[in-house]
Amino acid sequence: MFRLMKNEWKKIWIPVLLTLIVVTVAACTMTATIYPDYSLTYTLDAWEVGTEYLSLLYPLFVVLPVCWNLHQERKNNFLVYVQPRVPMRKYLWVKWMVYAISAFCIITIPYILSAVTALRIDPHLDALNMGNRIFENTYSENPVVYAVTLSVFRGLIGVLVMTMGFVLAMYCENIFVVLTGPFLYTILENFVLAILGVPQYRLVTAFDPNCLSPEVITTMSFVAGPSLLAAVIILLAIYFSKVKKEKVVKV
Amino acid sequence: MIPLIRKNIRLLGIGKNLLLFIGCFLFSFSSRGGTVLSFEQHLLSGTTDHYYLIFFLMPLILLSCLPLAEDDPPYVIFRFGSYRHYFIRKWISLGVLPAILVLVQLAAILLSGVGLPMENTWRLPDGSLEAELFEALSQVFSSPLTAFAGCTGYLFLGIWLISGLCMWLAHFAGHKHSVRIVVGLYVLSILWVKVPGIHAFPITGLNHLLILHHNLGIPHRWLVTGITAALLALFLIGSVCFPSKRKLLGKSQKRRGVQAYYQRALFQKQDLMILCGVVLGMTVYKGLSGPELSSGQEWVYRLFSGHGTGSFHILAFLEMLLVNTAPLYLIAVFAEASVSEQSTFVSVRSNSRKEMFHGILRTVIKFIAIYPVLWFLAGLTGGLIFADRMDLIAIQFLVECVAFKFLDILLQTLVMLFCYLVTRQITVGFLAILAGNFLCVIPQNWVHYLPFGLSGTVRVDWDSFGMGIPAGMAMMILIGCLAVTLSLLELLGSNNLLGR
Repeated sequence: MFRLMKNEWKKIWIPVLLTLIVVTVAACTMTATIYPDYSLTYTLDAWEVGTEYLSLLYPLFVVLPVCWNLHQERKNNFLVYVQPRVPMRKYLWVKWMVYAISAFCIITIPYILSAVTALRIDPHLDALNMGNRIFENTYSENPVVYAVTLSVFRGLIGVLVMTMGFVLAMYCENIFVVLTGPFLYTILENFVLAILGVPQYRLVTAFDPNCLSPEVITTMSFVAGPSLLAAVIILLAIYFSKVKKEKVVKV
Repeated sequence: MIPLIRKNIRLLGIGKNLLLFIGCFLFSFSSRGGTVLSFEQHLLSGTTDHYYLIFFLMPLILLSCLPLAEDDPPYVIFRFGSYRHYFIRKWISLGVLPAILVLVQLAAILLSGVGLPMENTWRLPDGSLEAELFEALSQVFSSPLTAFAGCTGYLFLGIWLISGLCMWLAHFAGHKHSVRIVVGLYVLSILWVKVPGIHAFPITGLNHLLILHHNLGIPHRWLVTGITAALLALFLIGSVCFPSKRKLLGKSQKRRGVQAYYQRALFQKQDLMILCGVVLGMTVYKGLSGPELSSGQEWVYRLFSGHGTGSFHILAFLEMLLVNTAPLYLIAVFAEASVSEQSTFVSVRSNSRKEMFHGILRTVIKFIAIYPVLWFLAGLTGGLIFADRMDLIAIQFLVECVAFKFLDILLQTLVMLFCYLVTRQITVGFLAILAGNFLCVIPQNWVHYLPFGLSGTVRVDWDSFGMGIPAGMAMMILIGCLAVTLSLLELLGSNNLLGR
């Protein structure tokens, strides 16, 4: 198992590391440069405003560096040669685990490091406390705990989004759809739920709960978006495997 | 003719007539309770009951028409000498259908009105629900009884015409499609009744052909219905008497060449449906959101608003992204599936790489050209529905916005194709477009001149709505960028198409 994981890691470590570095640099730079245009209440506010744009683009960061690999292995018939050596279920499971760890790191590490940047720069705080954020006590008194917990949760959502790309890569022939499908889903879901008047249940709300006022945020806000995505992933898998009768390995 | 009539009666059967009788009786009888109408008024009220007509009689008529409308076996048609003779005779014989349905309805309403006092006047008791309808009918008919006769006669003719339409559909479109089309027409009729704004359109639905009072109270409605019905009847007969040569020969001239191959790959039904869905969804969303519109121009401005520069509004940004990248996404999927595969069969058959490249380019431009047409139609109809008017100035503004949209999306598509030809990865091209659209959030002055997303009305300083850069300059930027991108594509495209 460990050797398989090591093998998989060897295939994707360059794009994963590159993405990790790029996203970390971008997040830290934006955290350190954007905040002067805003009125801040707490030190961590610089982190919030600096990483705002990442909430929209993160599906690309977790899918692009990893999911190309599975698609490529299907396309060049690599999986056909894997089949006699390792059970396909086990192989895919290991692959998913490595991808999941990579996706988790790609999201969590930049967010944590940019939070550290925000705490280190110690911005000038000039705005009045309006009391308009969720978990305000933790946010103000234990910013590190808040940032780490939220970053880990975001990492888990990133894993879920990557899983969608993984399922697409397992069945879909078109690499463009594989790589941009999850991004398209998040954009569509975000827009449709917003215009339907239930923005509190969007995936992006679970990812960034402070994008809405705390009155509308409930426990469901953290569950609904990921659950909907999980349901879509399951439906996609069922559609491709049972309805379209697509095979992961085509001999 | 007589055997055809017999067959029609046999196919109509007892069941549907019984259902019509019971349904009509129940509707009429229920409307009798609580009101003090005269017998004549009751007859008229029963024939014009809104829910009965739309949700009971119309589906029943369509259900009765469809099985009867199907073509007889070839040996039966052969005995008529030609399909034209068969069609006309069968249509005439289908007159038995409206006759029976109208008689059954008449019997049910007559029975439900037994015992009511006789008074053939328009005078109604106070608070009567029929007051408004009777007021409209009294403008045309002298008494309730003549109105009842008029409504019944109109229903008779309407059913007859619709039975001909069903026959035509069953012959030319087949059973499955004819059912779909008829159901679609029925839904359109319901929408016409339920959606108030749709009344302004000169569209004739099944309800106008069957229900007389739906043609009252709206200016020129009679004229529109009359012309539509006449044209429909002429078209049905004409298309059967003078079938097109293509149909007669039984084969169509298929386009050949590389471009036709790419066109078949890109112009898929589902792709066009997605484009229509995006345009329709966005139009409805724009129409229902925001404050009430005061003019057609304001509607157009809202419809094509887009995203401004120097700030980030998530909903406006998502909207811009969805509108601008919908056709691009489909083109990217096409490019990955059809162009990247580098099919040997296509390469061998085409004369040169240049021909292949021009084929792709022309196909993509044609596909993009559909999008502004859809936006123009959506803008026009949306203006009539949501803003209640579209004057000449608003239409002119709409045309300008649509032209901007076309140039903007064409430029983005060509840039995406250019990136694709350089990197051989369409995903890179798509990401470049995403990044280009994202640049508008940067709070710098140069961002105003960014060509991506310049079709948004908030980015351009229009005469009535002053924001952004002047329209002429925006147009020059788009045209200039297009010229540069096209030149680059022309220079590098053919060489890079199949890899270096």
